[in-house]
Amino acid sequence: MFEGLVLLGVSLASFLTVKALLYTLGATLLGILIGCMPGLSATLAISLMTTLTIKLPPNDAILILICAYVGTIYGGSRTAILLNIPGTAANAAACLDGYQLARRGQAGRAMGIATTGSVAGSLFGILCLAILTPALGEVALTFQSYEFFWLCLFGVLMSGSITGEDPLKGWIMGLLGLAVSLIGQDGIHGYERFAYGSTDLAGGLSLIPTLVGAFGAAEVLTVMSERFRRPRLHAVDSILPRIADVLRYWRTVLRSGVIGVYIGILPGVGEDMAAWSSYAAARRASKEPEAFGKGSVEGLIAAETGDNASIPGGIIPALALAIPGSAPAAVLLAAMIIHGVKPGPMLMIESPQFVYDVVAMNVLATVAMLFFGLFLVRPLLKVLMVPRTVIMPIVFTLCTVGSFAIAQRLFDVWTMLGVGIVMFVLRRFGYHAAPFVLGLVLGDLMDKSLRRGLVISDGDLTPFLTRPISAILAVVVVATIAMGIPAVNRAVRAGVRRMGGMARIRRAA
Amino acid sequence: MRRADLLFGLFWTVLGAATVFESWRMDRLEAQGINPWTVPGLVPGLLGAALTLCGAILTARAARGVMHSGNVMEVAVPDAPLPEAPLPVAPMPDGVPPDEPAQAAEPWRIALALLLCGGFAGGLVGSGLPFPLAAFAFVFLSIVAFEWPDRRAGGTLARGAVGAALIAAGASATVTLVFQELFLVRLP
Repeated sequence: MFEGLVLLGVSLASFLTVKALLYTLGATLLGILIGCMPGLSATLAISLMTTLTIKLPPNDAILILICAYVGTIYGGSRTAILLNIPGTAANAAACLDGYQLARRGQAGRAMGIATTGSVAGSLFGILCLAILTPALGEVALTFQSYEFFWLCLFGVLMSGSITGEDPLKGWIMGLLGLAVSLIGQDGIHGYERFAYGSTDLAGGLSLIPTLVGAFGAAEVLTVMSERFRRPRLHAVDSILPRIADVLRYWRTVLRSGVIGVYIGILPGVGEDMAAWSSYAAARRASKEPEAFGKGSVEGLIAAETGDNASIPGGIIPALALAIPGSAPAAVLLAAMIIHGVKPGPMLMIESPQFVYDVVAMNVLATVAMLFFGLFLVRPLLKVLMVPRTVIMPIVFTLCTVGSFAIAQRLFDVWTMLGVGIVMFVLRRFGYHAAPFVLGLVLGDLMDKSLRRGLVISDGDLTPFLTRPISAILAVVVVATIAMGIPAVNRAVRAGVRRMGGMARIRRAA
Repeated sequence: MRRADLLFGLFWTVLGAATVFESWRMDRLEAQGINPWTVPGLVPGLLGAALTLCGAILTARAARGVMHSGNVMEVAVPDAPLPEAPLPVAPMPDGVPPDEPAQAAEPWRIALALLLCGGFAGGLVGSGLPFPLAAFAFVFLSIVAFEWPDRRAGGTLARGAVGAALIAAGASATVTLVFQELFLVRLP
């Protein structure tokens, strides 16, 4: 306990330098600006920033990425409140009440509430990050190949089930990501798979150019293919949050924080789901559910607390298990690996200080978010007026040069372009990139875990199903698949409703 | 969408089957005496089989939908991320103008976006043309092309072109300087 506090103190002190503070402010501001622009996501921001920070020392680079992550998710609420367009998918829930408040002339109040919720959620998430990461890391030390295989499968399937409206398409994207990750030399024997004599393919598709393509190029193409109209902004009143708003809804803040962290920890389930779940839970528990969607302060605070709490939540499994909690966390995990950090169960043993460094980075990002949220609202609104016809070509130029910069080979640029075009087309037909990214990141670990597990058990599948944690994960995986089958899903829901009805009847009797 | 699902379903089925076939053809490395459970084709083969299964289910589902197109059979899927249905938007207060409808993609914009981005990243970059010039051409052409309808309607084509040239020059110079001088990247 005290050892952890000492390590956290050391981490915080190490970042109290002019350079680190400038990185914090700059990256958070850039993140907020990116988040303000509809079409540019947190995943894109982190992917691009990874290419920009490749030559920096690991801690500086990760600090910049985390600040950009936090800033982007927060910045998206601006657009949600003022334009009714979520800046990132995570802010969609904030549109419902934030925009209604803005239409009533309370845009500033809405932004103040969003800032308060975001900061509260972020701080709660950071607390959980500091407490749960070492604990989960300790549990993970007992994990063997069997458990890691199931965890990878669970992450990809869960992401596929929840992203989008059709689990089947989500699973297809997850399988596609897993398959694509296997292109190149395999991790056990060095055998070239699906390379067909190409030296470029033998090295595999580089992760960052692929991610930049999936999120950057695809998003640029999507936005460019839509007509842009200059937005009409609502007037902004005072942005200072009212203490009464915060104190009145402390239960909502706490509940949304717990939901946000929980959903963040689930592999592959991102900030958008955290925001919607927090919003729905707040509406169910509210004394004024009818106000939701009509400018409810409680609804807005719940959504923004939930999505920001899920950021540190998503980093917890990324650090402790090397299994990312969300698509942006997957890119963050890839960036950590590029910078020589080895996330996973051994992290707390090999470099425990790094976990607290990440906690300190989140604290700095939250403070910077609060600063910009309170003092730089009006100048930040100007970015909303910049036409997307100007922004998008520049972003695509950055995607191109960023993909090239990592290994300085043209093949990476073509990878980015190819993946971007494929994702752009698939997205138009209801296929989402998040499960693909999860598959891409987890493919190698899943491949090695399954084969090593089979070697250890000499081809016996029993340990995959009988070891306690393996068994639980296997049941969850099967349940996830079963719930994706419409007939099973309907039957289960009907059964749950019947049981709920019977319980109510018994209570009444 | 059902017709697209049908085509995609067939595509995934074929892709999965091809993956299984290619995995089966992979070397078992028997000469190296490796453990048979570590053969390189094991996991790709399983993934290919799973992809084939998913593709077949998608195809069957879409085919049923297409056949019943007169009386479209809705295929139920679990609830979307929002656990409860989105709330209706509140009525607008007096004096507040209605919102503009969401923008849909336009075919000519899609084609142009693909042409410009593909031409830049797949053609211009690495073709021997200095990167700053390639970046300038891409940004300039993109801005001019996508603003063309509005600029023409407003009679500001020339002004728009000058603005686009200035933005393109600034962006190209900044990106080149940052990557070349700050990050020491030898640009293509």
